[in-house]
This record gives sequence, structure tokens and C-alpha cells, in this order.
Amino acid sequence: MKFLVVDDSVTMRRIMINALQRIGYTDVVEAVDGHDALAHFDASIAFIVTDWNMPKMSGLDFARAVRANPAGHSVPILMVTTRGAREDIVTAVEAGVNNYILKPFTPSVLKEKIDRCLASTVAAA
Amino acid sequence: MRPPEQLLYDSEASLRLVDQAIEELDASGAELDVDSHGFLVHVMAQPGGFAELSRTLLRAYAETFTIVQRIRDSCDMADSDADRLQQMHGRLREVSAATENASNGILDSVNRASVLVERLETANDAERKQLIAQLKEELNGVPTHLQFQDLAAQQLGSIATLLSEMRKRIAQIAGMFAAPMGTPVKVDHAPYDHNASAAAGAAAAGQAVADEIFAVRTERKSA
Repeated sequence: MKFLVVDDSVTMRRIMINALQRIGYTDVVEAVDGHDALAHFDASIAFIVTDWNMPKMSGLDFARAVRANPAGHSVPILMVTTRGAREDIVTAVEAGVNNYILKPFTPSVLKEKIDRCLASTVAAA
Repeated sequence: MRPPEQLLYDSEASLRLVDQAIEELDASGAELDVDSHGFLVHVMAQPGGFAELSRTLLRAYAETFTIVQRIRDSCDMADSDADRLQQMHGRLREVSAATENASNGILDSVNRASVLVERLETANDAERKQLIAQLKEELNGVPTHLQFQDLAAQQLGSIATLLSEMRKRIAQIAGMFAAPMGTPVKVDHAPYDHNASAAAGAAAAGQAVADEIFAVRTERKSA
């Protein structure tokens, strides 16, 4: 399963990729912002993990762009961010995000959310 | 403070009365000392006599009025900047605490890992397997601590914006008193979360809200 990890922080991308590898996902593509992520997005991407606050294009706008793309209708999107306000989370849901993790996170939380996203995607299909 | 127009009206009327009284005094032939007489001669020689004084007073009053108003405005601005300074102080304290927590967490992991490595040297095969699993767990915990970097970046981004806003306000205050400021500093604003928090429990509380929202959504979908 190919993951697309989108975060403007190099450290956070490394931490995320490290955590994904630890829970068994080794096929990962990186992007530095939403704009860069759109350039990397294609039908081979099976799961997206994205930050919210990024230059050029935010994770929220990226999620909307993915959902607007026929190839991105059913790709699970997991938002990993520092934004914990209820209205932010609701906005993310409306943008098409499948689940949400508040930083800092642990690999076990990451695994749990990925499993939930995959389960809900299978159920919907 | 009274409006300048009202002050002008009152003072002009009073001074006209004074003017009139002096003329009457002069006509009556009353004696004045030399200084008073000199002063009165000088004032009366001005166009408008004593009434002109009221216009001078008005100009001084209007200037003072404007300065007092500007000082009041600048005090209001300074008050709001004091709030910003307080916010910045809180954020810097949070960054400092997050850095300290992360450092301590990493040091604790390293210490525990060192003990496990020492025990590995003398462990038998069964113990070795268990110790290696524990060692992996300790090493895997380190990246979690390193996430403080992202939270600190969000907080510092917020502080940079607050400082930039404060600079603009100080320039506005200086502008009120016509003192030009130096060349504006160009600040490159990266996107950040104004509410990002590394405080204990902040992420857990936010995660609970997120879990609740997504649980309700999943229930609705499956219903």
C-alpha cells in the first residue's frame, strides 16, 4: 500500500515515515505542501497522511482538491495537525478528511486511525 | 475637555469685557504703575486688542487637545501591545517547557536503553528476546518526543506575527507624533496554528473532540 505523507516540516515527515515503517507501511512518497502533494498524487496512492498548516497550499485545500479529483474520491485521508478546535475538526470533515490526529501522536494512535480509515473505506465500497 | 469652539466663544467674550474695562479705565484717567501701563499699551496696540489673546489661547488649547488625544490613543495601543507581550511570554514558556519535556523524555529513554543493553550482555536466550523487544520499544519512543519541534515551530511562528503586528503599532504611535521610523522589516510569515499547544493534555483534549466527531459521523454512515 503506497502512502503519501504531506508536511512542510522535515522532522515531522521523518517522524511520520519512521512511524509508518514501524507499523508495517514501507512504501511512502513525501511532499512538502499541498501543491507539491498534488503533483505527486496519482492512482497509485492508496492512503494520504497530511498536515494542515503548510505554505502554498494547506492540507485542507489539498484534501478538497483530492476529493474533487475522480481518482481521489475514495482515497483515505488522515489529517495530522496541531489544530484541535472543534470548528477546525468539523471543517476537516466537511473537506473530506476520513480521520484526524492531534500532534504529538504515538505510532499506536497512528495505527489505530489508519485501521479505522481503511475499515470505513472498505465498508463504504 | 471642552470643545475648542466653545472655549473660543467664552474666552473671546470674556476678553472683550476686559478690553472694554481697560478702555473705561483709561478714559477715567486712573493711574497705573509703569509695568502695567506698558503691558496694556502693548496689548491694546495689537489688532483686536485683548480679544486676539483668546485666539492665541485657542490655538494653544487645540494643540494641547490634539496631543492629549494622541497620548490617549497611544496608551490604548500600548495596552493592547501589553496583552500581546503577555501572550508571547506564555507561548515562549510553553516552547521552553515542551523542549525540556522532550529532552527529559529522550534522556529517560536513553538511560533505560543503556540499562537494557548492559543486561543483554549477560542474558540467556529467553531473556535476550524479551530485552531486545523492550529495547526496540524504548528506541521507538524517541521520535514521539521529537514532535516538540513542530509544535515549537507553530508557537514561534505565532510570536513572529505578534512581533510584526507590534512593530506596526509602534510605527503608528511614532507617526502620531511625527517621528519617522526606520525602514520596515520584511517578515516572511509561514503558516502556523495560532492555537497550537504543547501544554500537557492539550492534544489529548483535542483528540477526544476529534474522536467524538468521527465516531458520530461513522454511526450516521452505518445507520
